[in-house]
Amino acid sequence: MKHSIETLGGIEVLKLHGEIDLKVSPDLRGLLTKKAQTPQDYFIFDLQDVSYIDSSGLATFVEFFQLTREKNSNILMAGLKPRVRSIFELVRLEELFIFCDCVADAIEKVGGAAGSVLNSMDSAGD
Amino acid sequence: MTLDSDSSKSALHDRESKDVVIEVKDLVVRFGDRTILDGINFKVHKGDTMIIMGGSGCGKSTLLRQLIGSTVPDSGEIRLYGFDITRMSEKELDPLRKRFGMLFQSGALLQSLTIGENISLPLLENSKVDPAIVDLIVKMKLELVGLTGFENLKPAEISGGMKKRVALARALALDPDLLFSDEPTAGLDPVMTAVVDKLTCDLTRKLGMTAVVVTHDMTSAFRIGTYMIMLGSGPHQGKIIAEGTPEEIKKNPDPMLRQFINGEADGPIPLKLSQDDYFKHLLGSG
Amino acid sequence: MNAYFRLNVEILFWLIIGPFQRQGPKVAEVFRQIVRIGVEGLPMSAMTALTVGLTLAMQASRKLTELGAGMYVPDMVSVSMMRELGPLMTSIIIIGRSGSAVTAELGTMRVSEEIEALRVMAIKPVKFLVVPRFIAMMIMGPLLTVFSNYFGLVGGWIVWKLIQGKGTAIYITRSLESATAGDLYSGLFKSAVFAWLVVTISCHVGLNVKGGAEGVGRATTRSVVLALVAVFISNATLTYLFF
Repeated sequence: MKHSIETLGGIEVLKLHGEIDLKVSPDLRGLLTKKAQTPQDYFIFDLQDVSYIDSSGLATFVEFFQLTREKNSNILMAGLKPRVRSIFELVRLEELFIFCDCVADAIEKVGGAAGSVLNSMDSAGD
Repeated sequence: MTLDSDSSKSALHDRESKDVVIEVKDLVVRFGDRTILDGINFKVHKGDTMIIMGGSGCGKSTLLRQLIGSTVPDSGEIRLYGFDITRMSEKELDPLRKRFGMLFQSGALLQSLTIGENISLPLLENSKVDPAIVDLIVKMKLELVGLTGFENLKPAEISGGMKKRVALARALALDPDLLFSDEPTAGLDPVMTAVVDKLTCDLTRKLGMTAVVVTHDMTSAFRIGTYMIMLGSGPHQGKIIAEGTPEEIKKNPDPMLRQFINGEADGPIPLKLSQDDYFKHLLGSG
Repeated sequence: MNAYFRLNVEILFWLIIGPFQRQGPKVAEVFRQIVRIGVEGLPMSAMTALTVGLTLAMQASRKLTELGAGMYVPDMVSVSMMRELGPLMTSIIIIGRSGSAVTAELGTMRVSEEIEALRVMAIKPVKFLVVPRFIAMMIMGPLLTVFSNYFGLVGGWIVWKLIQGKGTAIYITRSLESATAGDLYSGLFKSAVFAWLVVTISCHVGLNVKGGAEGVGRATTRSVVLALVAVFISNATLTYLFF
């Protein structure tokens, strides 16, 4: 699966590409399971280059949510295409993940970008 | 016409035929000496919801069976994604079958499996997804059809309408880009009909899924349909007697169509036509 | 007939080639069928074998004692159970209990569109439904036969010990001495052939049911009759070949 890890303003962003379907979701699962082992307050996914996600991809993210729930991590999904967002919303996953319009937005939400308000951490938390 | 010339031409000129998912040409099906389908032609475009209407016994279900490659027609062509399925073997059909879902009229759930196992079946048999992920997918699919928490019951323990919805969840298990449904709302209460209709609309309008729906339920048909065809019965058996967008169908003055849509007992469809036959039959054909 | 042979070929295909394509049979499903076909059939076949053993010993001891060969009752019981009655009685029980159930079950699935639904989901009915039943039957047919042999011997012993008041030790030694390993194996071979015939016939008839609930009923009768005929004919043929 194509992915890249970028660090913007000291915050790690996992960028995914292409279609997340039955063929690539096992790879995504491996990646996410590894990520879940190092607890973080928040995880940011950049999905702007994702054109489609199927149920196995959704389930993989749900599993990631389960794995990180104990640590109360926030999972932010940034830059979703309308179609991809609809797929999440159809099974009401907007209640599990925090959707942001773009990566900058997400970073600002978690308070990582230079000069952004530190206490915005609270607004991102639940 | 071959597939290649078809798609290259359409890419340049005709936007419409670029996204043809199903193309039926001159389809003829006979059972013995009865002609069930007689020269059916239509196209279904990507993202469309095609409604197939018609009275009982007019061949709607037969047509659907042809489209999914369950039975072979007497003549004619059926192209799914450009492949002529009437000339394909079972083995060649399988990759195509993984791309579409089918909701049977009876639901056709496996009675020996639980609801959860029924939905996970296509995933476990046709993909290498981990069982833990499959479990989550099953729960999400059940939520889609409003049956969260029912995964451990057997089909015999739930009502007919629930079975229908489980069957829909199973048909959607592999996220098909084409869904065939045979009477998806039969046996559902009005609220659940609306839920299923909304789901169909969401899947087609927002995600671009294509749907072919056989239905008697006119409210539901006008709610979800983007194109409709009506199959005739009696002397028009096996022919398309009307087709068009829901607006065109609403305006269509054809008396048979009007009778069907408005649900009137008497009209051109069956009663009057068979009355002569009835007396002949009743009094003996002397 | 043609379709029946095709079913056999397809079963063998999935059994032999399937596992290499990571499409082997599901172990859990095979065990479920083993329980349904075999384990649940054990009391019935044990009881049948026990009564057959009893009857055999009673009939034999009367005639053999008349001839002054009353000593040979154990030989008679063990050889006829192992070679003939064990496999035959067991397969008749299997036909009545499991073969009919398999036909009815597959037939109902066929009538209620479940088989078609499987096909449309790109799942092969033979691989998914028939192969687990086939494996279960091929394992449980011979196994039940072994149990039947044992219970037949117990039946003989009951007559020998409780009615005639003769010694247990002599019964065991005599019955084990007279029956050779060949007797046991020929019986087991027979039971394997019977199991094959029963499961393929009942699956074939079940998968091809036509015409609703009534069709299922008719198919079940048909499958029992066909399986009985096939078992009797093959029994006679195999006996001819072995002797």
